[in-house]
Amino acid sequence: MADVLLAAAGIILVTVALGLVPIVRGASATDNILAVQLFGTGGVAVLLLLGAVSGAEAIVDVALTLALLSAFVSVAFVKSYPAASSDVTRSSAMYECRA
Amino acid sequence: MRFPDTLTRLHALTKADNLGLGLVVLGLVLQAGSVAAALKLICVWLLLLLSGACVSQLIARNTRERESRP
Amino acid sequence: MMTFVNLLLAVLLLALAAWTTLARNMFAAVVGFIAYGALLALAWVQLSGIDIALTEAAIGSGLTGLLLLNAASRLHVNANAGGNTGRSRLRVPAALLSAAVSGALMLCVFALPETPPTLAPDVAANLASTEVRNPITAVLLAFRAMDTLLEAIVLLFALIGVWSLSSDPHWGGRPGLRQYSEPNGILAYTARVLPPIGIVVGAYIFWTGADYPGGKFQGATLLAAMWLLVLMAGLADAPPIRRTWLRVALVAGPLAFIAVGFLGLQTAGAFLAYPEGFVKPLIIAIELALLPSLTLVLGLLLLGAPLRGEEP
Repeated sequence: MADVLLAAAGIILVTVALGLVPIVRGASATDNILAVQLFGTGGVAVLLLLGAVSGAEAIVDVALTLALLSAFVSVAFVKSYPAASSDVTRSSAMYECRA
Repeated sequence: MRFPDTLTRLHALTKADNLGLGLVVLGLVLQAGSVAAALKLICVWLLLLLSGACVSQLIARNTRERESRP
Repeated sequence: MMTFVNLLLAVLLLALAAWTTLARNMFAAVVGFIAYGALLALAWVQLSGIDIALTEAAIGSGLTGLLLLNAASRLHVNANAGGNTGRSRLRVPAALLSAAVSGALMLCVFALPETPPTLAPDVAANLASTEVRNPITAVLLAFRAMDTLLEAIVLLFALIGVWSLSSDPHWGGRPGLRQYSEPNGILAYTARVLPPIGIVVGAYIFWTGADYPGGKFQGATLLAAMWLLVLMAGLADAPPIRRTWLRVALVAGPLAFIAVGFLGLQTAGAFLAYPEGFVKPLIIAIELALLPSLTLVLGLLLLGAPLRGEEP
């Protein structure tokens, strides 16, 4: 059983790693964040699988932390790389005029 | 390329977020030691569902505004 | 199968590390670093360092990710205005220096004795006397409490360093920039829905730290992230740094820690020693006192220097 779970973890790792390949080939900023988002989800899945294999319940806590903060990073991206004239944020425009 | 632009790729990503992790969690819930552990697994999944939905909306909006920019 | 997964992790870590250093595009490097943090958390789990994995997932991937994203976006603004200078000339010496440091570290690792000196058996033997079941917490707050106290104080100094970067007219004002978002937009919605969940998770990670991996630092990081989320959505504004309550809250944690230390001098005969029978309550009291201070320090460190006056 443990082998099956580990194999699943390995497959997920390979898949999300392949998802990072477009970044290497120079994709747009948004695509990069999508790859990181996928990496976060894949990381959570792998952590849950590893937790089931090793029986350490605390690994689920790590997955919980990662799940919370992957959303946080994407929000940070939307805030720090706003589309111009966006109504979502005006922070970088403000930064320029105050700098 | 199968998914030619960012929005279609976002569409593909949310499947992995919701279904992929959901299926992994479903499989693990069946062999979880206790009810509490199973509930915790489901909580992780629900949390990612919620944050994934919010984030994909945010990114999609950001992308649309970026593309409609002259 | 375990070896295969471990091997895969190692290869991925090396590939991502190489990519992060070699990337030409700053933003891609930041993205690589965030993914690297998540991967490092997986590696720590495989090494049975779940406490470190929690810290890595929270700090390395989450808060540092935000810090680097902000830095990259500001540098981007400046680079467009001023242009790039002197990058290629510095590259070769920088690469040589990094290679030299890595080589020295590698030599140090190989020079380690076959069975490294360890205090782990002593910790395991004396764990029962601390009444906490998580050995990491026992080491951090009982056996090596002085280190933890100094760490908390170093963070305060770092914050003072960041604040001192503000210009004179803005000293004492609000850090960072006022953020705006559509009041009924999805960002505001996210910032209303996620923090309650995040606060529960943060408190849980903090509370479970006495017996299982977790603790004040990881909990504080999650709480700080949720606070920053609310600030980023513009639902609240950062407090001006001259506020008395803010400064009291910042030093309250370390002060409580020092007070417990002096209490130990009275009752147990040494600074930071805990009297018999009160070890666990005192450890939890210290952690509880440090939690709000650490949350504020981490949040304010990420917000940066004050950039505007008192007005909202």
